[in-house]
Amino acid sequence: MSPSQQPSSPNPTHLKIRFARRFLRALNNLNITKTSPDDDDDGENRVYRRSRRVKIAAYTAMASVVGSRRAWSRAVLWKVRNRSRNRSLLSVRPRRKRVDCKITNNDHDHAKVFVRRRNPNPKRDPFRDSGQVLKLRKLVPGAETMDSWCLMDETADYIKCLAAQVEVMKTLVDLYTTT
Amino acid sequence: MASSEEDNNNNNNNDSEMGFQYRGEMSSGSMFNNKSSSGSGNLFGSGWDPLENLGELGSSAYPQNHHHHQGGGLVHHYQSGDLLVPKVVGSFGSGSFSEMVNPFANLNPDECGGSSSPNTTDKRKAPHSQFNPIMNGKREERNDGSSDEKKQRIEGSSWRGKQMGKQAKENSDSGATKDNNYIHVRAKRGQATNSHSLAERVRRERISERMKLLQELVPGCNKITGKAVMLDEIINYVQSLQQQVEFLSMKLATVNPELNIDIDRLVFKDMVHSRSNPAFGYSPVALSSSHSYPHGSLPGIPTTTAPLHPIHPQQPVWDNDLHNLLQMGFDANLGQNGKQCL
Repeated sequence: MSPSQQPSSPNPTHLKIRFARRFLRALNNLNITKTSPDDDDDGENRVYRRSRRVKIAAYTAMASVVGSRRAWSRAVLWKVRNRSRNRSLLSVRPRRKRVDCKITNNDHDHAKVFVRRRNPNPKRDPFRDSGQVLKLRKLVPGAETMDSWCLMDETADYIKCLAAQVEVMKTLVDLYTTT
Repeated sequence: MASSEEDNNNNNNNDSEMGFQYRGEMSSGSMFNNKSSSGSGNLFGSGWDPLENLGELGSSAYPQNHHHHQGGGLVHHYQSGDLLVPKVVGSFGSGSFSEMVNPFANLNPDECGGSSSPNTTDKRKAPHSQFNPIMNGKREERNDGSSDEKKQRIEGSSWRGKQMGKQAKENSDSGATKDNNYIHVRAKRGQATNSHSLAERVRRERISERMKLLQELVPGCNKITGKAVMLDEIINYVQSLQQQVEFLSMKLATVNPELNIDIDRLVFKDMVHSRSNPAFGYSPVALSSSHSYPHGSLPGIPTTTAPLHPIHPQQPVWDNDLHNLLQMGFDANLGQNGKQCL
């Protein structure tokens, strides 16, 4: 058992279960707190606001399931946290220093994380800033400043989690609409 | 220390070729690492403490077996030690070939000047380097002049003899990579053995390996070869997934307010889900098998799970159980909270 080996990716079923739990819990909270300001604004805005809240709840639930293992989940949680904290002051945000693909390995704990090298060297990273890669960087949260390999890694994990999330949400919608 | 290392090197020289070489590489690599990391952490970073311990183990006692274990252990422990590929490959290249070949030679500091780690040059003066075969053909390029005399010492080894006989830039060995605390990369036949190109090739291989993984994740990308098309597909897929999340959240927002779910029901859902098949698009055969699980695992509520709702055949298996359990939750809660929500 190597302390520097990559942590195994989560089983998709477990992922879905955990995500579903948290998401439903968040939806419950949304339902409970939303009942009061029902009459404030017109129906459309209310639905939009509510859908945005649902969306944020979904992403937050997924990110919290994954935890701090992944850069994208950290980025999502950080964004949501800061957005909720500083809604009024949200003009220009200073960017947090990104920990680019570097998770220190604490060997005493036989930790599941592993060390990845910080590699900002442009010589060694020929595909760093080609057109499509830039688009991908914008799509995947937290991947703006990574090197190519880390970007691919994060994208793979992000796609897996996103697909699981979409499936759970589809099931929920079907469930809600059929009853 | 130095004398014991020399004796050991002598012993190692007489070993059988193939088996020994890898051990030799590993032990020398570990000793390199030990000495250099003790000097400065620049080259190898801060994450390699256990490597230092292993290196000390190796340098303290030198039976033959110890090398085996050490080498094996190192291979096991540091499989993914790919941090050091560029640097170490560079350092191997810039080190003198004579130093690699002849364990008794002292390093010329000049030849090591190009190394990426000036710290290691001081350490390498001690003849602790093993009698390494050629790992990378680039060493041949640089040190041909000094290597000729050294080659004569290496007569008995047929494998090594072939290697050294070639003045070309090719290795006939297959591209075996041995992981120690860094990756030993062999240049394949017909490929350039410049240290930079080797490191770049390693990077490209890693990236392409990730791309293959992504190919499996993105549906319908089995036939696509080529990075650009693959990247386009990945981008489209991620965008479509995100749009789906938005759309579904909109739907949930419109549908949701009337219904409420009891969280306790989720516990049962978890239990059932852990047993059911997660695969998408399973045949109805699997559906029937999953029906038996609730009966077995939930003796508390066999009656409620028995009347299963009509199931759409194309839905995944676990969704049926989710349906059932959430249905139970709905029924229970609609009765209780009907006044509150509606």
